[in-house]
Amino acid sequence: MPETVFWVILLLPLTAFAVAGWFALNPRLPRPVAEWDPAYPSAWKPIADLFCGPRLASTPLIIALFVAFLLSVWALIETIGVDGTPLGYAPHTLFSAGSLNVELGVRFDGLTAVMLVVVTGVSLLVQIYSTGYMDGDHGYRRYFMYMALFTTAMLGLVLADNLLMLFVFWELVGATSYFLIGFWFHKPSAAAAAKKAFLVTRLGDLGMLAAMILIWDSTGTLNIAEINNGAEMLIINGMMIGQSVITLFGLGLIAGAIGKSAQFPLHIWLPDAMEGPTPVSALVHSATMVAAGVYLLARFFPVLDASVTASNVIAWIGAGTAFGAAVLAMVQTDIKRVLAYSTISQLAYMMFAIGVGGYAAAVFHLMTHAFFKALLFLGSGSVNHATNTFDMRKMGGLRHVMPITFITFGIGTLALAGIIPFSGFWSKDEILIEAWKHNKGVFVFGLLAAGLTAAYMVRAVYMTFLGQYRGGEEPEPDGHDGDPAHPHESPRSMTTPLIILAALAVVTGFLTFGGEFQTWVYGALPHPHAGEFHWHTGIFLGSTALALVSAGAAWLFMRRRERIRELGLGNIWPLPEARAFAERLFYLDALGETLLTRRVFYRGLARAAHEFDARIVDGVVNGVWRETMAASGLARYAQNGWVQVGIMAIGIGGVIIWAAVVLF
Amino acid sequence: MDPAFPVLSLLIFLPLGGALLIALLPGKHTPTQAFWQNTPGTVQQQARWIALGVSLAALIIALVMFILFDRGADGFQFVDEFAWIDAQSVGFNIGYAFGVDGLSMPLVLLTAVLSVVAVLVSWNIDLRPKEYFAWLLVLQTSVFGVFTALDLIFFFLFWELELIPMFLLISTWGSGNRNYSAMKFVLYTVFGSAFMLAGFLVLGSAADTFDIRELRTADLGAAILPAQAIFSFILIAFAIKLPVFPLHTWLPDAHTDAPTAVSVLLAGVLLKMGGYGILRLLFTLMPEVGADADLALAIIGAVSIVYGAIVTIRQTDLKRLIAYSSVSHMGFVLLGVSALGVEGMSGAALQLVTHGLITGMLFVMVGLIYDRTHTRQIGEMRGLIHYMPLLGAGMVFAGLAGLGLPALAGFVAEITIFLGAFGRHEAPVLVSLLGVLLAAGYILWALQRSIFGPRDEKWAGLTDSNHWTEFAAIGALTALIVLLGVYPRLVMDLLVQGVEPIVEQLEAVAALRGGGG
Repeated sequence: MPETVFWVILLLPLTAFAVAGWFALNPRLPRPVAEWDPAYPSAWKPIADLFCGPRLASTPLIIALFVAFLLSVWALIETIGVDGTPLGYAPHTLFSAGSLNVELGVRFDGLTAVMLVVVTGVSLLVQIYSTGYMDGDHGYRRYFMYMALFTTAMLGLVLADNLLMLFVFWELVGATSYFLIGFWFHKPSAAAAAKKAFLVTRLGDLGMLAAMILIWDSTGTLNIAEINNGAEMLIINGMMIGQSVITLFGLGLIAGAIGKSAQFPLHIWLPDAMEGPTPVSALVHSATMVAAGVYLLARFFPVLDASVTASNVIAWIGAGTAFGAAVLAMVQTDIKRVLAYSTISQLAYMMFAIGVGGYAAAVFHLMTHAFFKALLFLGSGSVNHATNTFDMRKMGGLRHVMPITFITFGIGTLALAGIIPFSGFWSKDEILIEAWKHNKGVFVFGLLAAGLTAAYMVRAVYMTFLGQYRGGEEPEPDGHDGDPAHPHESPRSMTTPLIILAALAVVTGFLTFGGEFQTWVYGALPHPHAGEFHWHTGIFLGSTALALVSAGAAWLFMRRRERIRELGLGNIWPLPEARAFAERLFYLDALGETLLTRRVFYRGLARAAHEFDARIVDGVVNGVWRETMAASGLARYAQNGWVQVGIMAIGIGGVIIWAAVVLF
Repeated sequence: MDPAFPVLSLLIFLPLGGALLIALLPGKHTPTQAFWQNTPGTVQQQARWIALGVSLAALIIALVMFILFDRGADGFQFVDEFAWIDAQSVGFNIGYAFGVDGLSMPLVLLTAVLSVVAVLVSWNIDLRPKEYFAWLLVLQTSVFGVFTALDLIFFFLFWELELIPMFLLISTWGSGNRNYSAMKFVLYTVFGSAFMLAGFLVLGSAADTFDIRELRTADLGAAILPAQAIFSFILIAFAIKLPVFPLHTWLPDAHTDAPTAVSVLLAGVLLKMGGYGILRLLFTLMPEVGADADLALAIIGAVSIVYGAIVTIRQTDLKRLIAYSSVSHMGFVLLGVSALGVEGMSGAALQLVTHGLITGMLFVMVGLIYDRTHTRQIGEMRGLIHYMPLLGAGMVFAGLAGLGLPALAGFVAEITIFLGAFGRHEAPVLVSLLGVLLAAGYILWALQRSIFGPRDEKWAGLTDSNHWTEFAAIGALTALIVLLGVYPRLVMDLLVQGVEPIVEQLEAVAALRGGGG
């Protein structure tokens, strides 16, 4: 298929960005048709309204994404025809300086195809949902401007054929998510969260930058295919490289990936990033930006495969994060924060899958997770739309008034908890099978995390949808105009995406039958091979039993919590201590933010440097100046203009000269 | 264009002519008749329109040169020269010689662009406008002269000429502790210039010429000082100008107290004279010394990057914060130069151009915000974007460019420098990477505190950007920053063409040494 298709896919949302940007900057907008032409045929009114008022910012993006989605599906079908192997396109030179040749090109294979479909598909649904969720927000147009640019950057990221361009779009994804997280910048917490997200991910990006510099210096190429093809034999672009180079390169990429995908110890930005509008979380923090870290490692899987050290590092980071984040999700009271820690935990699954060699399993989980996690986030947004809060302690009993949200959220929960036959089951079991085969320690952590996942989701569903309604929260003066006293189901623009995503959360798991999906993504590797469907009855029974038991326990606990409180069961050592430890997020946020950044760096190092600069460096300059002025003050007496002094000086000088001549 | 046409002399002296014209305007700051007697208007209006017309004309000339520039040819183009002082009569040659090559052409264009911006952001200067705009144009002539001089004496002449308008502009139209800052700026620069002049005189007397093209091939064995000493002498002047740690403390003072347009020109083009001088004079004339100095330069560069960025984080004055960030960003220039390769050096040259645009824009934005809030203290600002969406957005955009966001100009230069310098100086480059993180820290934190946040009724009466001069300045800089970020080739090809001869010389030195030892 022609390369132009991919440029069109990239340019479509970019054009929508320009259009939305124009309307965001321009305060005057065409008025809705009904306002100036009451006689307008009512059958056409809904369509005409799409092109009036603020909708002028969102409709172009939705159309653009719809077309991009169709083109992506076409591309996916094309690549299925060749079992996911790359379609070759020659890169274009952007500029060159000496031996540095910066190129822009398209890398298209099974992995790219899957990502394209997921990104355009989820983005499309999220935008449709957003037209309902953001309706009436006075930043509506600005919102779609950012969303369009974000989607463009994400598409560029998955299409890039060299590391530098990947990095360019990687950073653009970060910058646009900065704007989206800080969308409600009038809230100090949102402005702070946006900054935190950017800085923490950029800390990881330093590693990625270093990796890029290292590999270019060692091999003279940044082309992904060339690096991947030569990683195994340690000959890239005709250059022999040491094993240490590949290992360091892999570790640098891992640093970038754990920043973007919010893995320990750089996970601290993601829960705070929930300050952004909920559809942003659904797109940015489930299916796209945070998945970019996993995509990066999947993209460079041959490199990690060639380095045992790098593989083990990411396997153990992933295993630890999967378990730790699931524990933190257990104690959250904010529904979005539950989902945020759940996302960290699920991304960690993909990370350790890559670490144990389960490349296809990781990408498969990336895809299924994208759909069901977007569904869950959008569901939480729907709940928020009705109750005006994310605090689950103020919800409850919503299953009656919001049946569609409840059912779809329930489907998402089943998928996330890994219950057969929902999609999450197939991908999670795939990962557990890979871990079982290659690293039993990691497998144990993964299994424990799976159990916790079922428990915290049951807790969240119970607090939100079951029991009695606890009243929601009064709306802010300029917030949404919902009535939390009488919660209601969300409008159709919001429920339709929920239903579609729920359907996807059921069926996408079936792509694994016959190893179909795995074949596509294996095509992206240097040695493509057919995928196969894995089944391990022991792991199936074990993980399902664990999920059901812990879900049941959680349900029982939630149902009997009054009784438990009466009996004081929660106060038995070490439960209160453990709970406090988890509620304080294992002190990791405090360590990173308060201690290291604020105390050690800002009040310590930076202050010392500032004092040094003002007192020593500048002090010396001012000191020299002062002393020079003082010294010149003495010399000034020679030039005070008194004739008598001048004549006297001439006389004294004459005497001295005379004495010198006579004496010598 | 007719090669005999002295286009370069026209470009250099056009602003000076404009300055004379403004100076000759009759009348004080009262409504009066113009010198052509028909157009009414205040002296302020006449002066600013003449200044705008002249700097626009200079921009057009520079653009025409940029377009006509032969991208395949070696050496200098648009050369204007005649013998000024002849060897036959006095024993040494001083020539009136000006020309541009791939290195100086983009810098000349940058100067022309920022000069127009400087006039635009000075539109409402009402304190002695005649003198103000005249000195602004004199400043422009001096910078054009520095970037195009092919003779050391003329280079020095224009280098020093720049001090006069700068001193007067800062001390008369500045704010805060302006007399101290202006004096500090001048004394610091003159201190460096003294060493530079000594170096030039030794070079010139050894080779009997001050012409850069001839000095390149001249034998400096007869110099009364060792080449290392000459190199260090001249480097002092350029290091002060750039500036690098620990010679940078004049910069925050001068920047903070200067009027907006002067800050723009100071950061945008005057600092670039230091980086340009290092490439044009030090590495062109004394490549063998430069080849030895690479590690020292890389270390100074890395220290400037990280130290400058750390000190920046503590700043509480928005303008001072940007000034300190320049120290950090100019460290990249030194780091790139120290790579001694085409990649690093062209990256360093590109950094000169992109930093000029980005920091120029940051100063424009801070200046326009200051015009409204009358404070630059970050602690006193909050939620400005609610009342000034356009200025706030411009500030955020310039900030993102400043922290090296890809697809904006600064990133291309930084990544090229990193890639180019790593092979030779691994540790300094790795340390410098921290500068990228710190830059994000100080920029985003400053934005969070001043631009974002809740509405503050204190600023309720402020107006957003509302004048065409402001739109033009912001729009032009925004467009150029995006253009260079997306399509850096526009100037990168020229810069590569400019640094290639330098790198060839360095390679020849290396080959000679390799062969000899």
